[in-house]
This record gives sequence, C-alpha cells and structure tokens, in this order.
Amino acid sequence: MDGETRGSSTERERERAWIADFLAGDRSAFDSLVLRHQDMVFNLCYRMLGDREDADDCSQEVFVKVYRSLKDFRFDSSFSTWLYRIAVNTCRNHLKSTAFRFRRKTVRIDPPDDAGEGRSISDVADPAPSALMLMEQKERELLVQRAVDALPRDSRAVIVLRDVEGLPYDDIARITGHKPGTVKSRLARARNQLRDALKKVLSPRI
Amino acid sequence: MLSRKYCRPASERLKSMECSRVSSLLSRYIDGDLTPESRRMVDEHLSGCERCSADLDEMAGAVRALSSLERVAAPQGFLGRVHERLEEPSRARRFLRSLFSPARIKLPLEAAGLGIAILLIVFVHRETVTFKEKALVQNLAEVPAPAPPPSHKVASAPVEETAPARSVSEEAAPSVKKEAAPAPAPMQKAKTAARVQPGPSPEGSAAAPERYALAPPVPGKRPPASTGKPVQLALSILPSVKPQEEARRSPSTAATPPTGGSATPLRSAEDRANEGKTGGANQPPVLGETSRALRQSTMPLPRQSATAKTAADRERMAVDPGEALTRIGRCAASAGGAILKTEYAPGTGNPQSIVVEVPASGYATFLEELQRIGLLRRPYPESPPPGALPSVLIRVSLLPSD
Repeated sequence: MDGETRGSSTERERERAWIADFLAGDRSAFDSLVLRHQDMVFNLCYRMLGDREDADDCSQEVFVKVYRSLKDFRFDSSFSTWLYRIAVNTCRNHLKSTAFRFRRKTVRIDPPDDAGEGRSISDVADPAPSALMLMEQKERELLVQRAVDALPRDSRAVIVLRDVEGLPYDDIARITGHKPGTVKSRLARARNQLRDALKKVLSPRI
Repeated sequence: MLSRKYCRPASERLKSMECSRVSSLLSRYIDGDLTPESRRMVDEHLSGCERCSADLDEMAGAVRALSSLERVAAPQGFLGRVHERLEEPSRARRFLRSLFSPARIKLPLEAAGLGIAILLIVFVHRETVTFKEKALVQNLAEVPAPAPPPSHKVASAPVEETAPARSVSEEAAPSVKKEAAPAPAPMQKAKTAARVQPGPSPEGSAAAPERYALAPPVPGKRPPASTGKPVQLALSILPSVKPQEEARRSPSTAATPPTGGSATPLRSAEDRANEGKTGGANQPPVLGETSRALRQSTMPLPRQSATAKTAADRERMAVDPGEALTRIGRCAASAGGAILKTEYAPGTGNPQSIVVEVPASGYATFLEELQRIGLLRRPYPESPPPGALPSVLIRVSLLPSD
C-alpha cells in the first residue's frame, strides 16, 4: 500500500495539479491546497496540543511552511504524508516551546476552550442529541483529550496519527521518522497509558 | 497448542508470564496486526483469562473513544489568516530585524555619545592646559613681584625684562606656546638678551616663563639640581648714579637716585621714557664721557668712586640692585649655571637675595665674575664646599655699599 491513505487517486492527481500550478505562479492553487487540507491539519494540531488557539496558530504556521517549501517537494511521498510531517514537527516544536509549557501549567484552571463554542456543538455527529447527551459527550471528549494531553510527546504523535487520524503504521513511521517497530511499541505503550487514564471514566459506557 | 498447554494447567507464575506477553500484544491485536499464530494464542489466552479480557476491552474502548472524537474543523477565516501571515516577514527575518532594529535606534545614540565623548575630551584637554597655565601664573605670583625701581629704565631692545609679574603672567601662555615647538631652541636665540627661569618647572625649560632677561643656561650644560644649604655670599654693591660703561653690555641702566647729590638734577620720567624708546640706537655714553659729564655737572662723586682705581673697581662702582641681578644671572650663565630664585626687599622691591645654582666646576668662575659686580665680603669659601658636587647652590645677598 502506498503511503497515501486519504483521498482517491483522482484527488491525488488534483493535488499534483495544484502543486504544479502553484509552482508555476498560480497562488490560487495554494489556496485550494489549504482549503483541501486545513481541517485535517487543524484537527491534528488540536488533538496534539489540546487547545484551539494553539492549534490555530500552529496550523497557520504549517501552511506558511508549506507555502515556502513547496518548491522543494519532490513527490517522493504523497502530499498528505509530507503535510502531516510538517504538521507533526510543528506541533512538536510548539509543545517544546517554553511559552506553551508555561501556559499549560498556569492557565489550565478554566473550563476547556471548546466546551461552549457554538461550532463544535453544532457539528456533533448525532443529528438530534438531547442537551444532556450533548453535554455528556462533550465532557467525555474533554476527558479523553486531557488523557491525550497527559501522554508523552512522542507517544502523543503516534497515537493521534493512528487512532485519531487512522493512519497505517508505515505512514506513521514515515511521518514521525521512526521505524515501524518503534511506532508499534510506542503505540502499545501509549494505548496502555490511555487505557489506565480512561479506565474509570469510560468503563461505565464501554 | 503450546500456549494452551501452558495456560490450562498453568500455575499462577506461568499464567502471569503469559498475561504479560498477551498484554504487550493487545495493541496490535486490536489493529489486526498480529500473525495468525499469535492471534490464535492471544484468543486462547483471552478465553481463559478474565483480567486480560478486561484489559482488552478497556483498551479497545479507549481506542474507540479516540477515533470517535469529534473532528475539529479549522476556524472560519483560516485561509485569510494564512494569507496575512504569508504577508508578514518570516520569523527568522523578524528575529533578525529584532536584532538589528535596536541597532538602528542605538546607532544615533552611539554617534551622539561619541560626539559627546569627543567634546568632553577636548574640553578636559583645554581645561587641563588652562589649569597648567594658571598653575604657572600662581607660581609666578608666589615670587614677589619685582617692582621696578623708580628710576629703572629699559635702555636697549634686546633686554626683555622688568615687566611686573602680572603682565608677565598674562603673556605667559602665548610665550609658552611660541616657545614650546622648538624646545631647546629659544635659549640659543638669545645671545645678548638673557633669560632666567625662576626654578625647576615641571613643564620643562620651554614652558618656563620669562622673569628677567638674564643669561640662560646652555641647554646641555644645565647643572643638575643640588641639595643642601646654599653657600652664603654677601655682595656689596653701590647704587649707580648714572649710566655706566656696563650699559653697553647690559643696557638696563640703574637709576637709583644718588644718595648725596641733592644738587643733581633728577631726570624726569619723560626723559627716561624717551631713553627707553630710543633703545640701542641711543646708547648711553661711555665711561669716559660719563666722567666728563659728571665733572661738568658738578655732581659730587660718591665716596666709593673716589677710591676706585682699576677698571673693575670702576665697574663695581655703580650697580643698582636690578642691574646686579642681571649681571649675576650672566655670571651664573658664564659659569654654566642659572638663577633659581630671587627675593626682593619688601620695602623697595629691589632684589635682595639671589639663589644661584652653578656647577661645582664653575664655582671659581662665578666668584670671579661676581667680583666684577661688587665687593664680596670676606670671608667666603674660595672653593665649593665638599660634598656639593655636582653643583653648588649659592645665595648671593646684595648689600648696600657702605
């Protein structure tokens, strides 16, 4: 299986065309690439960082990097894999940054930033959830996210790429730069940690 | 098969080992990544191990929870913000700019600081020079001003002297600057005019102000400073009555009023001024003419003049303290020394005591020259005192002749 797990071959062909147009000077082709991948990048950043504001900032930085380095893209891997790699590395750097760690330690006293935001509530999967169910689902998601936030940085990238993004081991290995065996062992360790963290929270529902 | 063998009859220890192994495979079991053999082994273990089954359920629940997490879409206006960010300079550029932008602010400040520093240096330098000049003037002021005798006259141009201390001090700075460039030269310029330095000055000989135009020490022959008490000499001089033959060599004439000549018509100040203006062109009469003039003027000669027999005695006859100072300076110069200090009588302002430093080798010469000015009162040391090498300090006290 090729590294590309998302999108059909026609979508991949369309991406290639956008990239070629962008390199030929068509800036709107870059906009097409952004619109095509912005939700994926933002979701990845949000799950890795656990904060919308940070995710927004990080996602913008990812696309700025893409804009400036797309001329170096050689199609050795799929554009999505390349984009994931940039996003993961940007998130890792963000997680390492002193400002982020300081904010994580000091500001985490308020309710989650996505608890009352209109958009996330309106986009829930259940088309007609009751208010109580919606609140329960939001609360559970928050707890899961906090459990992810508690994981080590390297394990976090692997588990998000695997269980949130649903990427295969090989792609994760390409994105993270680890060997597939390392990816599997880190994933197993991260899942064990996550299970322990969510045992009491999820057991009644599971 | 083997695992079943271990599992079923297993002791607690063996079961624990198998649980540990199965636990490490649960993640891959969930993903379907195990080989069929491993999967079958895990299945067999799970069928008989409630704890491992519960672990699997919990892990699968966590994985489902993750995969069922709401996919958070990018906020509205994301593309626009990306565009805005693309318009901004890169972080590296921003970082570089932040490094250099303070420099752009600092640069004028640094330039201003440099300018201020230069101004400060120039100001301090000028102040230091002014201070040195003031210190020089102060040194001059400490020396009693040589109030020129009432009848003292400047008769010839080469003599640059008899200026009061104040006026000398006012002109000190320019003269210092003029003479500072050719350091040893100014002394050599003056052949007939003599200069004296009031004492060892930190600025060196070039910066020393002129007090009296006396014979300078030859630059190379200046005696080193000596220590110890000066040799005391008492020189009897006779205040002059009229221009003497010496005036040819030292045009300053003594003009002290004669002691006993009440009938002698005093020359007016106007006459003296005219005489001073004429300078060297209007030389005073020679001794013979003077004698005749004296005789014609029916002015009684002083007693000493009557006893004068030799030319030296005649020279000795009429020397006023101011001229004596000039001539002593010349004596010191001919002996290779110089006048160090001059003390003046508080009442009259005439030179009273002159401290001279001469090389020990020039001591005899100095004494010989000194006796051409006046009578040296005996006893005086004929030779320099032992231990006075290499130079001798001599204090010459000018005594009114009796």
